[in-house]
Amino acid sequence: MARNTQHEMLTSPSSRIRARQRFVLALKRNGEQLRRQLVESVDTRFSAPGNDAEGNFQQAVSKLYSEDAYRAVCLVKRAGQEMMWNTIGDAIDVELPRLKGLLEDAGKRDVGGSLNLRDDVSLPEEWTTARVHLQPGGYLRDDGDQDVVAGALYEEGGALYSRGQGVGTKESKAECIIRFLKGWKPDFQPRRILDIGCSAGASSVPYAIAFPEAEVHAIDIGKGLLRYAHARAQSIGVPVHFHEMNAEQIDFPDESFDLVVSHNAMHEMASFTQQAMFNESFRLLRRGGVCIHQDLPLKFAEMSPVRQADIMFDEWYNGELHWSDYAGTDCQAGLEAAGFDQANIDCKPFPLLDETMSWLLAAAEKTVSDEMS
Amino acid sequence: MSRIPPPISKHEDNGVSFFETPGVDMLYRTCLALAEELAITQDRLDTLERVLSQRGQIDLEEVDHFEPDAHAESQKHCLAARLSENVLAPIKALVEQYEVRDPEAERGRPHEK
Repeated sequence: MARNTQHEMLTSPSSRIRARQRFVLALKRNGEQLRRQLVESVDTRFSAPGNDAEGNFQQAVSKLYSEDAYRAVCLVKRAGQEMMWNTIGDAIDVELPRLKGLLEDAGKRDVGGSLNLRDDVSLPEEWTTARVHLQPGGYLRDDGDQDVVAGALYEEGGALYSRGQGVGTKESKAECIIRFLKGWKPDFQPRRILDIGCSAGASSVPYAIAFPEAEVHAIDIGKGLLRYAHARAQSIGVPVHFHEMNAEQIDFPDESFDLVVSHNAMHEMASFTQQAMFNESFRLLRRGGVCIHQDLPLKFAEMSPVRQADIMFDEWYNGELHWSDYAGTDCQAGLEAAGFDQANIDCKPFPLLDETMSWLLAAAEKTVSDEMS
Repeated sequence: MSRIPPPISKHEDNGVSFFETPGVDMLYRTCLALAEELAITQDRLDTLERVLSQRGQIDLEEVDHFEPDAHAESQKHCLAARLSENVLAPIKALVEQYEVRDPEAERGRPHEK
């Protein structure tokens, strides 16, 4: 079930809004091409033999931002992102009563999923004001008991953003993990699956489809995201249990899952939160269970100073809180610190089915010896 | 890597001007807004032409020489006004910012020296 799966929680924008979305998508794609072209040129000159400036991040920042052309592509990227949220927000506004109605109906559908919200989850202070990817109201936006806007914005914005970035849409992140898992452990049949940082639930649903005998649970900290995710899964007709929980302290018993996954969650976490998620993955897994945490293959150590300076745009001007933290972390070391045996850890880029790009998959298996150590 | 400060500071509302003269940012944004409006119009026109030609109801010659009546003329004025307002929205924001700016901040501005 790929990202572009149709379901009732998606909006059907008017032709005028669709025209705006087509334009914004074209603007983002063209802007991104220009940006990559320019950065490559600057990188070539900056790193040319005999150029004393090579190797210095701050000098690369100064060089890039001294170019009017670079400032212009930055402006286009920022403005394109704002225009994207405006047009998606307009599409959602028109259909909000219908979306709220679907949430109300979700509990009445005989699907088997559930929604478990609570008010005692402690959240990092920064998340109350964070606007990741400039999403209006942020992930924690909550306009009342029936509010699903954060989830609607996340799913519709995410799809358009990814297409603007040129990320493939033929295989979802979850499908990619499932394909990796089936190659790694062909006979693996998890009975209980946990999706950490599930956002709008688009990545939780494919596990319930791929492993129909399994019980699928998914957690996040945003009420509006979880309400949307619940209504979405129920409307598709797939049972998933959504819970409001923090990845740092997950309220499930030890050894209660066979498969623990996350999708694009690591780069949105502070380093200590990511480590806590690895620790919780280890605690929650049964013997023979595996965790697979997927994210962008973003490693500062493998980039030129100009490329490093360029990708910092997302932390400085696109609301990413922990972009540089993530680009500097070592998942292999984090999983080892959590208790997984070095020999049972596999952290590597794994190509999408259409080979347009690779995801980083940080995978580990919990074995008998891990438990005894 | 610890938190690195941005090379261009953000405004209090978390916005950013990438050029030293904010007017340049505004000009770019005006062009983008204009392009968005043009794209919508182009798309609509394309849709209409396809629908009408499928029905055999369009005559391009007739379209080229169309004379609007008073009602159509008024609606066309409304369309033009809305496009103009959208295109000028960034400049309007600049003007509104000027209106609420502390007069003290005016001292030393180049054009007043």
